[in-house]
Amino acid sequence: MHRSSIRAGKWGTAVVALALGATSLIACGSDKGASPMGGGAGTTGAAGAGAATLSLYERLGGKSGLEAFVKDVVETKILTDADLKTFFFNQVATPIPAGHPSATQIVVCFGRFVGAALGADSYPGAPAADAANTNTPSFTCRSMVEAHQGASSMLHIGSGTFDKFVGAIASSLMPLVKPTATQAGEITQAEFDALAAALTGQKASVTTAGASATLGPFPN
Amino acid sequence: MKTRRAKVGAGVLGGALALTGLIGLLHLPAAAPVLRAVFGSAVCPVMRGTPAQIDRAHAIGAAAIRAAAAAPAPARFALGFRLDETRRSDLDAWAAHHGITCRAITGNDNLQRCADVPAAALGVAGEVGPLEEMTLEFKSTGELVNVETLRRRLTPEEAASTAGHLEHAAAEALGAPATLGGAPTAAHLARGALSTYVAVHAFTDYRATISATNLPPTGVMVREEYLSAR
Repeated sequence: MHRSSIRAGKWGTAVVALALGATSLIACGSDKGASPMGGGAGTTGAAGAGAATLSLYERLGGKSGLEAFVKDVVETKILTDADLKTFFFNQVATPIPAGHPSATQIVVCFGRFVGAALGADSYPGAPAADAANTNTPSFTCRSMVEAHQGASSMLHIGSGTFDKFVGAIASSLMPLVKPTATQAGEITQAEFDALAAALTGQKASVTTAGASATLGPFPN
Repeated sequence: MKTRRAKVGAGVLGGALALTGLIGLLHLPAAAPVLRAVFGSAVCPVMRGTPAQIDRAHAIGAAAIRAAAAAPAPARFALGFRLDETRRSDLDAWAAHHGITCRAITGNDNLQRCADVPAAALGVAGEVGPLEEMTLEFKSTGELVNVETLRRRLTPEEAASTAGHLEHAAAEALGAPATLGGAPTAAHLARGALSTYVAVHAFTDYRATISATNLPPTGVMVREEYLSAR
């Protein structure tokens, strides 16, 4: 497999976990883990065509760019959605219940997770610090696979919620697609397609059988 | 006396331990059917959001939208509702008038979901078709802050037509979108999973979003969102 394909595939997988793990990271369960790729991360392969001199990590703005992307998605797409926001109730509680990460810590973890998948960072790395999260000022980032298992068992995610969530991610990524993605903030259609395949491929492992096939706002 | 105290103490301790154990057991996946039967949900009942938390989430999102925008909206279209003015009683009256059922989401009266809404009930053109559902969010002080609609299971052709009409109407009132991705065409939406068309009109006090996303195997989902960013 071409190196750029591998990178893009890993990136797609990482963002899948980023997107889907956003909800499960704060699940009822106390799942903890270490491996960013876990056992459920598949590569998708087809990405990379058209990408030029800058690596995907660089085009995504590196650590700060990834964190900014995650922060923007969470704040302007998830927290504004009447259904999806309810998965983040702990992050908007005062104080945040013990053991739960703040939004800032989630952003750090996800940014680091994607960076690690691209070989540019390490995961889980040092605990993510946020002094404002008084009950958990130091949060150890969790394995996305473990978090997904927690999600499927406790968050009772239905296919409708899953579809809406990945739709929100897709609507954030699609404007980045350019015919020849060579600059910061750009991805190729092939990279988008690889991400899309990886995202939708996680449906069975994230959703719960018997959960609402339409929307299943938390708690379903 | 000491014996009695010891018995009471042991009883309290035993009861506390038993209760703790029961709560722990109810958090196991195998207990999901029990939770569902008792609480109507398989999720820990103490993890429900409160109106204050819902408000806080909206405030965070609204602040981020305001910070990224440059000017107030020339109009704040919201399917006939008035952002920051319409109240629950207005929604109830509208629903009763049109024979539409709206229900609180997860018991939270500030989040209302209305099912099977005909386009005519919203005064919009018939070519955009009925809504599978419409969700409205109210602040804990009572004012409407968000209206969202979903149409699902559409063909790429239907979705392209619907999204195109919706965005055309939005652009007429709001101007060109601040963010645009994909194209409102059947060919683009039919490309594959998550093929998306999205247009975002973002202002310091308002955001309108029109999107269409291919979600195999169920079809294409068209979503409208009209949100107050005040």
